[in-house]
Amino acid sequence: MATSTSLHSKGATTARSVWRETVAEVAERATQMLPECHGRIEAAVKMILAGDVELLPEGKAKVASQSNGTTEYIVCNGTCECKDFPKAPNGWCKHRISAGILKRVEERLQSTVSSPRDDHADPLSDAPVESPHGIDPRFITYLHGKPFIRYAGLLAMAHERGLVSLEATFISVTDQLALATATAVFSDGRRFTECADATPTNVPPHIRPHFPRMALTRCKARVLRDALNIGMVAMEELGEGE
Amino acid sequence: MTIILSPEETARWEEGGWLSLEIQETVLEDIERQHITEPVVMTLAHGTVAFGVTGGEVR
Repeated sequence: MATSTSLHSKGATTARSVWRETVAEVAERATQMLPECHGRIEAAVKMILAGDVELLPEGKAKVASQSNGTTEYIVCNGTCECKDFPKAPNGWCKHRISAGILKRVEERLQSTVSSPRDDHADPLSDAPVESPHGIDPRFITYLHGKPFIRYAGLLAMAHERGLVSLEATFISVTDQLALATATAVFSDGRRFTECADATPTNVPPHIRPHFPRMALTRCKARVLRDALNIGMVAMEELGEGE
Repeated sequence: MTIILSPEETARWEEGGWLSLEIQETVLEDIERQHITEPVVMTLAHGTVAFGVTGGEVR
């Protein structure tokens, strides 16, 4: 009986060591892939080792808050409910990172097939499904099977890439046509200018009374698409019947 | 689960643009409001599949 306990204890210790080593390996790989998230990855590892991360069915995960003992965040489809998610680089908050690391760790440990390591694989397996142009799927809306980027996504990406100024002004406004131009300036000195139009018939019905505003939004969307090298049309550029 | 759009909604969907988007977003809101978690297939009145929804997103 004592031997059995001893063996069990030794086995458990070894298993725990392997698990911790695997967590460290995956975390290191994550740091290489996401160097800007170094602090968040460290926090994520602490949460995993503390047992605060639980993988749920359908790719979801439940992560306990570090700031208090009662809140739990659900990570799902590449998103998290926490306040840091919108601010974190590409949405990689510590909760989402922890879920991604743990998922990869479990996959590695459960794998019974001896195969070469895939060094090109994403270290965080809850990474969103690859989307057109490598854009965060949160910012893409599919309509009739075609992807459209949201203005909010363009703005977020532009800020990430050093947008320092975005100005839009009307060129002319009549009761049937509004023309506007926008200029975006980036921290490296690059400067982009674009124009756009709006009419009462090519804007959503609820915006029709204020259609000139859409010309401003559209030219800003276009100039950001130019600056970010995104060919995908913005949802805000969509007209009726397109 | 399959949801069939009415002939009026089908006509608006087939118009495209903002009218389609309005229908799509209304459907997503309805699904979320009713806490439907299973995959949903939206079909037009004449049976053509318009789009599918899983995990709260259009696929």
